[in-house]
Amino acid sequence: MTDERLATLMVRVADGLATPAERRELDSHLRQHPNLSQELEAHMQIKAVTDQWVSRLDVDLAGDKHQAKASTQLEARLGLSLLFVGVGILGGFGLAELMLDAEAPLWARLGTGATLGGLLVLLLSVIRARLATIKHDAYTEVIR
Amino acid sequence: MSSSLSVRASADLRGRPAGLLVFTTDAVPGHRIVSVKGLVRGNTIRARHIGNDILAALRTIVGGEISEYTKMLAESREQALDRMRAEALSRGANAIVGVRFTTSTVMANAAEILAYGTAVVLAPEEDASR
Repeated sequence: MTDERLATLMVRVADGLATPAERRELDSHLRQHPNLSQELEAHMQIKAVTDQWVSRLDVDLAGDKHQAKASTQLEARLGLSLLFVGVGILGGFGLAELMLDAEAPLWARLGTGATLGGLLVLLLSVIRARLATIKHDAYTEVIR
Repeated sequence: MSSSLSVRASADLRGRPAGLLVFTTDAVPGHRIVSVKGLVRGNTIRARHIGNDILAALRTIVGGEISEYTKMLAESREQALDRMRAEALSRGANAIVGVRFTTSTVMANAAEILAYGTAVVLAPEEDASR
C-alpha cells in the first residue's frame, strides 16, 4: 500500500466515510504494521475535537436559518411596525392635546412645535444621508 | 458550511483594499522587513437602526447571542481594517505587522473600533539581501 493510499484510508475511516471494503483493507494493513494503529488513533482524536468545533458552529447555522425564514422577518417587521405606529399615535395624541389646549401657554405650544419641527427636519436629514450611502456600504453584508 | 460563514464574514465585500497582508505578529517567518512605512490606522463608529436596538434590548430578556450587535461589531471591525489597509497601500506598503484592535465607548448602542499597526514592505528572506 502506498503512503498516499494509507493516508486516504485513514482519513476516510476517521471521518466515518470508509466503505466496508476500505475498512477491511486498512485493518489488514494495520495488522501487518501494528505501529500505524497509533496514527489512526491520532486521526480519530483529531476528528473528535474538530467535530466539537463543528457542533459549536451549528448554532450560527441554526441562527442564520432562523433569521432567513420569511416568518421570522415578518414577525420582526410586523412587531416593529406596530410599535412605531403605536408610539406615533400616542405621541401625536399627546402633542395634539397640548397644541389644541387653549389653556396651555402660547410659549409652551410654540416651543413644543419648534422642538418637534427641528427633530423632524434632522430626522429627515439623517435618513437622506443614510439612503445616499447605503448602496455603497459594503459592510452591511458582514454577518459576524 | 461553517467555512462559508467565516468567508462571508470577512472576505466577500465589494471594493475592499486587497493584496495586503495583515499580521498581529511583529515578524513574519520567512520574510524580512525591508522598509517601514510608519503607523497606519483605521477607525469607525457604527450603529444599527433603532428597530435593531429594540430587538437587541428584548433579547436580553431571554438571553443568548445578540446577533444585531454581533453584526454591528463585525461591520465595524471590517471597516476599520479596510481603512487601515487603504492607508498602508497609499504608503506603498505590502503588509501591516503588529496589528492591534482597540475599542471605546463614545455613545450607547454604537461600536467604535480602532485598528492600528505598522505598515511595512516585506520581502522573502532570499530576496531581502539583494
